[in-house]
Amino acid sequence: MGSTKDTLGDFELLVLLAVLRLGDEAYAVPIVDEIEARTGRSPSRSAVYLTLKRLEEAGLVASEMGDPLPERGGKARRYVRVLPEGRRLVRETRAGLRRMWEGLEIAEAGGGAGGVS
Amino acid sequence: MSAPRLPRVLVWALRRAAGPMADEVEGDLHELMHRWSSGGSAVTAWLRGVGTALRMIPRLSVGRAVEALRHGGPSGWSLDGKLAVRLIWRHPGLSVISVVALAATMALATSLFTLTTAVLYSDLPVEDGDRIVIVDLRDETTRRTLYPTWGEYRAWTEGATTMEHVGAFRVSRLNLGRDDIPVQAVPGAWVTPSLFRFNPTVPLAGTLFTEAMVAETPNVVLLGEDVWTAQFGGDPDVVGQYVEVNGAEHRIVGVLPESWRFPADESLWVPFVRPAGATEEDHFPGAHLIGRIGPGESLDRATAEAAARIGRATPLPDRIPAVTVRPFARGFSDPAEVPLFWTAVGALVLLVLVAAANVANLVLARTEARRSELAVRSALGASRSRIVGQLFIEAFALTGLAAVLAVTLSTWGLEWMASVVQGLPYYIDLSPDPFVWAFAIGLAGLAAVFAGVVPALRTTRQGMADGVRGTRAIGFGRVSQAVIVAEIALSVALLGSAFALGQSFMGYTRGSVVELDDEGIVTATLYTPWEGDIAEQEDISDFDARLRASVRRQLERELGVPVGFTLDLPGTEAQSSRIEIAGENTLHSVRGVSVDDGFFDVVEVEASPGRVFERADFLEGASPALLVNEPFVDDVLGGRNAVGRTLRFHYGDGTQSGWAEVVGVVPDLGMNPGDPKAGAAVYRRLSGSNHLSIMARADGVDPFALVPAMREAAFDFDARVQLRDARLLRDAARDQRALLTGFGSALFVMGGMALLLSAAGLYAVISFGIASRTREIGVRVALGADALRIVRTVAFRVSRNLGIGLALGLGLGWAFLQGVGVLEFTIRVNPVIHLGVPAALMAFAGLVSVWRPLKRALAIQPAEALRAE
Repeated sequence: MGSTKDTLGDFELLVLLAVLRLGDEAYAVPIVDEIEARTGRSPSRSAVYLTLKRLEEAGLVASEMGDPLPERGGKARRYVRVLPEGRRLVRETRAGLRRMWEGLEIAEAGGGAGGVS
Repeated sequence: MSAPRLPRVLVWALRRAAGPMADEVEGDLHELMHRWSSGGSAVTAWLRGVGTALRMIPRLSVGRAVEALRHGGPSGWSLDGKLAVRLIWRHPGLSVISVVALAATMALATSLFTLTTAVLYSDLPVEDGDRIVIVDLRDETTRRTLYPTWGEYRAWTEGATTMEHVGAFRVSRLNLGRDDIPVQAVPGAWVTPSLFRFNPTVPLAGTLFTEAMVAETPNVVLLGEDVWTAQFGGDPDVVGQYVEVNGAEHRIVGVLPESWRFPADESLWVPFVRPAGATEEDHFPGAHLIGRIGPGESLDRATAEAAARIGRATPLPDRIPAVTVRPFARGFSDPAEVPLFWTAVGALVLLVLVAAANVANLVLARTEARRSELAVRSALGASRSRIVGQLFIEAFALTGLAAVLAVTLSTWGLEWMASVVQGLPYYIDLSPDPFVWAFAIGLAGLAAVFAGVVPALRTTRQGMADGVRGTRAIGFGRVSQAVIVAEIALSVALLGSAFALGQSFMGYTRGSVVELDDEGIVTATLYTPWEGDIAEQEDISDFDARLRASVRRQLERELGVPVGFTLDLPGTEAQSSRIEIAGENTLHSVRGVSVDDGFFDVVEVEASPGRVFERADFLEGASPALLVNEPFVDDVLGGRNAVGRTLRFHYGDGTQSGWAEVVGVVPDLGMNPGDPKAGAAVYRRLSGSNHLSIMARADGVDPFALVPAMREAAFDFDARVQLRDARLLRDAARDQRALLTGFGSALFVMGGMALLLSAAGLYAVISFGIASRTREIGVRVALGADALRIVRTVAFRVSRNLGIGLALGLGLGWAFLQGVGVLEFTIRVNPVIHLGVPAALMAFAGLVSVWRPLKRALAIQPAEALRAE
């Protein structure tokens, strides 16, 4: 297995969360849909492939090929699931973010850089 | 409903970009298109699919490359790179020879390329520098530069419609001095004030001069920053002070920054004004017309206008100027020479290819030796293009290294050259720019194709499977034999010529064969800017005679040291002349040396037999006398007596001097072109010249202590006379020959390296050729063949190639040396040494390369050889 990771990038976190949400149905196509639907951002498909590969090499996700499907031109899907190490990192990232948010309140509009109490 | 299909080529590209994820990516895209087509039209789905694929291909390729780099794991080209570096490391000898030889030839080509682009395509380092132009005036038939008449100057400066600004300049050294500042000849220029409008600069202090200022007081001067710092100690109050320029008082109006040294490399500027009384037909020698092209105008239109205007104003019927308006910074080369420059660059690129071909031989041999390794890679799935690519990268690792070394060497060489050749314009930048790097890298690529791809294609052409099985006998076919023959021929011819030229140039440092006591002799050039000034007022030879007499009188009176004048210094090359001996009909080529009667006192040389020049020889009405040197007696007269014979000089224009009697024979003073055997010289009495060398012997004191007195004596006679380049006689001789010595040494070193490379290449090709037949030879011996006969057969084949190559090389080299002899330099060709040494070395390399592998082949046990079959 590849090298281990201590931190997650923004996009890596999004991809991991999408995989967690999709459960057994996680592969590149719905991952992109999921991120798009929930964040309103349209991620680059190439970035999703490269990120999944990187996360797999880092031991955060594992993948396995499904059955060949006719609507895929006879090619199989690569299903991804999050490994315990990946879950731990997601939890840690969430805790870190929470701590950063504690006590912060951002004004809804027109507050500029200020508006923090 | 079936999904629309992507074009095959797109699928192929997508799969390549996706690498190991190819199936997954292709499947996902297929699925998406299926989904899109079921929710809408097939065409839209197809278009979306194509768009998605096109976006993904570059992102996936770049993304994977970045990931690979991040991991440091070798894949694809980076693996080839690593293999290449490892190979260089594993064959250090081969690598060093290849890199050094390639670097030397590439450095030559790169230097010439740098010079060519700098001379032909420089621009002034100001805004719109390419719009600043110079009017190139040349004689239509001889192509010699013409200087404008005042009438032509007026025609150009008054009312040219294609020009925004017009002006003129003239470059010359100017004597700058003051009571508290010793007189010094400073590079300067007369310039029209308009110059500062089209090539603007901001003075460090004071102002620039303007037409109005000049009309009122023409005696104003601008100082360059270097002169201001060195001569005036950076005095902040220098503006407004008075200095003497060529003896006339001038007011300093400003100081210009170091970055502005227009037109060439000047440090002092005075106004360019038409002298009172100059007629329209008078020339101002050295003057050039310049200007700045108006907006929207072209060089062609400016040329047409200038030709028309100047043509109308040209006064003399026998003066037919060819007029071209050219960008200023490119204006000093003759456009007719442009193809010449590029031909020379092309020739050096060919030289690089010759070196690359040598490296190719070495690589070929190595590639053959690695056949099994390549076959294994092929068996593991590497395509032919992949393997050729790998070998290209290996070769490129070598040639790229050579290119970096070449640019470094070339930069050093050009820096050194710029320091030896003075007066290079300030805007000519010889440091390597992106074009130079691109050229060098292009050369590296070309050399890598030659040295890597060609051998690789040859090696991979035959079945790789043979390599795995190890059954194929490696041989060198006709092409290889032709390469060997051409190789030997070119090496002998080119290297022989390089050695001859190198030796000839090197000879320049050893010009003097007499041990002159030149330690204490100081020399300098006395330069009189006679053009336009003195020449029109008085006869230069009269001016010159009075100058010499005055300077000599003053120095001998004040310092009590012997002083002499000459046009040619001992140890430097004197002018080549032709003389006729009375009573003989043949002309002899000798060195013609012009000296005064003090010359021999300074060098402390006496005549035997006869006498040297005396003061009486220079008096009016004295009968003309000549001296000859000892080589003249030996070479021209064949040892016969010289004194009392009469000789006369034949000039280039078909005229002759009067007959004059030889009054003495002096030793050789080394005024030959680098070959003591070409040292026959005739000394004649010095008459007028505006470019004299003064020599003085300082006995017991520092020779340089004489220089201020020399300068003062000249200045006292006429304030325009400049004293330049004061140095020891010994250094003068060395300086004159430094450049050629440098070239000579470079030719020697490069010739030597090329020879080494050629010999190594030859060795590699022949010895690998034989080594590959080891088994065959072993089998033959096992079957009872006579070992001696085998040796004879192989030796015959090799020596036939060697012989043809050597014969061709000797012929080519001989022809080339005859051609070189046409050059100005006297090259004494010694075919035994110049062609014989490279030929012998190549022959030796050829024989050694046969002997060692053959010995190995014959030592094989017959049984072993048979078993291998």
